[in-house]
Amino acid sequence: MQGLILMTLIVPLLAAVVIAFIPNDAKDMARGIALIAALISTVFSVITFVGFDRASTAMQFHTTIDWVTIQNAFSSLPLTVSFAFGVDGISLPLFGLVGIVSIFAVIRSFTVTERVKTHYFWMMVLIASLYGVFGANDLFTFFFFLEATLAASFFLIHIFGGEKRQYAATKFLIYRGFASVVLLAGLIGLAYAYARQAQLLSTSVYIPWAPQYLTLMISHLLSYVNGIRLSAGTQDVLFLVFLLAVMIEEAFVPFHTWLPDTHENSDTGTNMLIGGVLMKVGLYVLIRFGVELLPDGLRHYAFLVALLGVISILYGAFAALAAKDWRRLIAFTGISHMGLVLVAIASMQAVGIQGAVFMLVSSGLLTALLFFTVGAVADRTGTFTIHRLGGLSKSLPVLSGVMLVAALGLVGLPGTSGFISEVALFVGSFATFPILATIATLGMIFAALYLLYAMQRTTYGPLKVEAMEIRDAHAIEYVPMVVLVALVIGIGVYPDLLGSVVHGAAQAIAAKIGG
Amino acid sequence: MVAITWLVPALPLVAYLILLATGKRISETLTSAIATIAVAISFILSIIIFIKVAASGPIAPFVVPWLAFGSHEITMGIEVTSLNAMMIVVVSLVSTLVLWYSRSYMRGDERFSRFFQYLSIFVFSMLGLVVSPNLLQFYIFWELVGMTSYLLVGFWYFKPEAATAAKKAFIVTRIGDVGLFIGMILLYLAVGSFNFNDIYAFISAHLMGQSATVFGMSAAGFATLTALLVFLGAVGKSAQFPLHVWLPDAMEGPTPVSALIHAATMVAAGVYLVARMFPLFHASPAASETVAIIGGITAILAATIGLTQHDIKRVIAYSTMSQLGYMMLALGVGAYVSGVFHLMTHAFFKALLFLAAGSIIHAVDTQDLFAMGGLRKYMPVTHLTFLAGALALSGIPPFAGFWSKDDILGAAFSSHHYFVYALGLIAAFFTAFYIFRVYFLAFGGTYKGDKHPHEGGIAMVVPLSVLGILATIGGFFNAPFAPFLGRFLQDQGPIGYDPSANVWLMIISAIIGLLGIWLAYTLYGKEFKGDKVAKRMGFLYQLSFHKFYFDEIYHYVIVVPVFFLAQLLEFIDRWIVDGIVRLLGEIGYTGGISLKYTNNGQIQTYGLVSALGLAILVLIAVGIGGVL
Repeated sequence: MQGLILMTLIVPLLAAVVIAFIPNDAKDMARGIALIAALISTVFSVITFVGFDRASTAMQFHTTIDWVTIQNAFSSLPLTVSFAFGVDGISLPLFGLVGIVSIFAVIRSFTVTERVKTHYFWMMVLIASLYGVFGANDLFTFFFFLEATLAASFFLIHIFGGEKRQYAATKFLIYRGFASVVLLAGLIGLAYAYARQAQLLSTSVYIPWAPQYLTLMISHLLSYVNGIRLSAGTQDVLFLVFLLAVMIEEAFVPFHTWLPDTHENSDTGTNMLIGGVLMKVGLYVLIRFGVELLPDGLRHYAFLVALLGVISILYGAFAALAAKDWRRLIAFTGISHMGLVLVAIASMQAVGIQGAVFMLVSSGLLTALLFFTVGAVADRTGTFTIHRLGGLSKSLPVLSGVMLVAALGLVGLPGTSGFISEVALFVGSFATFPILATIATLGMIFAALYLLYAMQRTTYGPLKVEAMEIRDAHAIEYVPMVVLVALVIGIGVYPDLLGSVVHGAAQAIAAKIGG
Repeated sequence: MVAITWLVPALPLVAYLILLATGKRISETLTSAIATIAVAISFILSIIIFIKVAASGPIAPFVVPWLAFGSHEITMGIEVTSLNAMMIVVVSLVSTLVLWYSRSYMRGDERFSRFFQYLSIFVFSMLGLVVSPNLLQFYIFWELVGMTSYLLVGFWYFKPEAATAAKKAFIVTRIGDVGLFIGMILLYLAVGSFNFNDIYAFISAHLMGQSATVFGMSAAGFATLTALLVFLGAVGKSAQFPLHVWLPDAMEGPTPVSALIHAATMVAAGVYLVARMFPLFHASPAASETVAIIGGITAILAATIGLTQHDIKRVIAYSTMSQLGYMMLALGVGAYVSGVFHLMTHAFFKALLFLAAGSIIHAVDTQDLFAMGGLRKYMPVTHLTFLAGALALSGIPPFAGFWSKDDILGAAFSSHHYFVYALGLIAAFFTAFYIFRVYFLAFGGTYKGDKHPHEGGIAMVVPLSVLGILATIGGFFNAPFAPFLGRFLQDQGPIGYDPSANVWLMIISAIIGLLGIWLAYTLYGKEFKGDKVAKRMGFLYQLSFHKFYFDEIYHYVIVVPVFFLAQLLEFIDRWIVDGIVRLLGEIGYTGGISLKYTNNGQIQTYGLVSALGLAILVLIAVGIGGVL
């Protein structure tokens, strides 16, 4: 079981290598290899999820592979850079999310007919790196895979996107590349700051891996927090660095304009991975490094963070209302919902953190589902433009129904995962910021407004478009829809599926930071 | 007992799942039979539970763990208080009759099975709502009934009006729901639990006194705030002023839906919520006063609009709003039993009126009152049952509505709420007038259409008759001389304010009702001079006919600005926020283009630039006092 995470991400990497060497015209072979590899990884990720010891709040499924040793890295002591993996109650749900969304992104991409080999090569790299980002127990490992997602997404957008794909891909690269640089500075600063503090306190505090002070292992850093507290000034500076990176990564206002362009110009499979998974990385970073390692920094700027969250909630909601393209609408919905998560994280309450993780998973599943159905509708009607659609309930009842489930899930209807996420988020938010949280609830009303308005124009009323291919969902499309709907409703009806994993970790964080 | 209590909501859910699985593969008869029988069994079980509760008191909550939540545990389960026991009987009874009726009404509809699926899931949600032991579970089902309402109002999705009405209903009630959501969270943060019983305990321990501060405000302030937030949810769901605009439009749904969801059950859930949270309202006189006044305003506002509408379903919809206003009024003045009693009788006679209207629409294919007439001859059962419903609604003794409405007016009067009493009394006059206006227009005179109207068959006649009987005798459940319901509901001790009957007030309201009927008879029954009178009323008529222009006002004050803001923001986003981004990109690009001319290949230039750069770096290093 120790190597499970490593195996989960090695399989798609191997598949990428194999795909690189098969003939160009062996399209079905590329599809087959990708499907099998993604499926194996999904099974591994599910095993990880099921096998996780819910009673423990520690990192589990450890694997460490040493890479290079740097002499005299800190205080004349060497530093071993390694690939280290492990998951805890915060990262495991997101690791599982990769498993669910990735297999369906692969299935969805069967509709890609040009340069299939290249498509699956980059998609396999992207999937492996997403597993790596959430499975990493090491700052270097984390950053390594984050950079890999950047490259893989860039090529997927640049080669397979829509009309303005080169513009969108470049924008994506510049924004996220810049965020990476800032994040790198933050990560290095974090490691050094903790190392220096550990060294200063080494006589009074027991450090398990002494005499080495500098460590990149996330689980080591997390256990530092128990005895070692960075000075307020250091935390403030580091926190602001992280905050900047997160704002760009999550496309929070005003750093958001790259996301709608990206979604509007990417193919559906890529959108599912970007919108469903990649867009959750930034907030994961904020929980992991902001809340857990820089609690005083977050506390100091909590109001600012919550305010930024509220701005994104409202801005995203209004922009979604004006969106003319389903993909832009989904992009702004995401920005709005991630704003809710930002407020909840700033609340520093256990329930808020729990709700934040719930919302990341819920939003990931629902975004993927909505992209999937919208893509399937566009296959048949040839358009993503909302006002050109209409009356689809008639010709496409199944797709329309699933689309409605996804929309209502995003609205936060009880019985879907969106609801319990919002309850937890808001309980946390109201406990700390009653006024801001009240303003944030406007997002709940607006979500109903823009999503149902779009649904009305898409599926209700008289049929507007002569669907090019009027067949409703076919067999291969049923699988992703059924599984995603089942998960969304499953978590909604029995949230302990997720709660049993998250709850302990959220409680532990709150106890540690005194929230 | 717990075992069969579970079955009450579970059976409709099972019916839903069966219908979902079988879909169009089974016949219409079988489809409707599965749904109807499942709910009928729920009804029988509800009766058993009701008797059990009457005999040996409420059934304590039975719960299972659901989610570890912060430092608390959320549970889900089932609880049958006296109020719940009455509600499950009313809901399952009306549901059974409406499902039975729908078999005939929806015959031949392309989505017949889908209709029964939606209705089954609605009945499940409504019963689940009623037996919830905690506010969170209540809220879950509250939203689910809202969703089924959305699906059923938009059932004929190809009609643009239906699609718009469905969306409007969802969004307007959502505004109220967010209020309830906030109230629920604030209560949770104060109490540490969603359980009703824990909330009650907290209220009597912390909110009834003067001393403590709760959540950073005074106890009284907290009680008022949360009570008003909870009430906001009820205002949305029960279509109270100012969130009432969705209910008339919701009449775009099939008529059985109007009868079940938009008259008897879901819209009454708001009243049920206020009744369920009665201790909270009891703790805040200000909030109670607000409930009474909003209820009174809604009662008279809706009754006024109902006077002039042409569409038979809309008149009854406004009547529903108005009657819900009475119930709120009752709860607001503290008359718990009266409010709940009226909820029950109203469920019977309003479902009856809608089903009778459906029977008419089914027969004459129009909803326009002025295209009907003379139906007394063609549809005797519909005529008689409608008459019973109309008399009940008008508050004519001994029909059901008389006892309950009179209870409410009596309570308002004797608790010195003279203003709301006056509102209620005037509304009662209007009520009798508008419903008998409908009666005379539809059943009196001669038939104006060219169809051959006839009764809709056994499946429509029997439910009408059952409801007709209930509308006639239902009031005796709590008549002043034998207040069974009052004793039943207050089994655990008195709740709220239960005034003794006042014979003079009863006589006044009966006379008021008769006056309304007489006026309707003069204008629409004896001879037709309604339109002349309407013309003479001029401005007042226009105000009522155009529903006080609420839709227009909301459109220009809220909808238009919101969409304008969205468009404005879209413009700013595209041309200013993203414009700056593109400008920066442009500068970088142009910068690159011009800088490349500096690569002129001359070592001297490179050397000069490098030296300059080094100098700057040194200066910076000196400035900050060290390299690192």
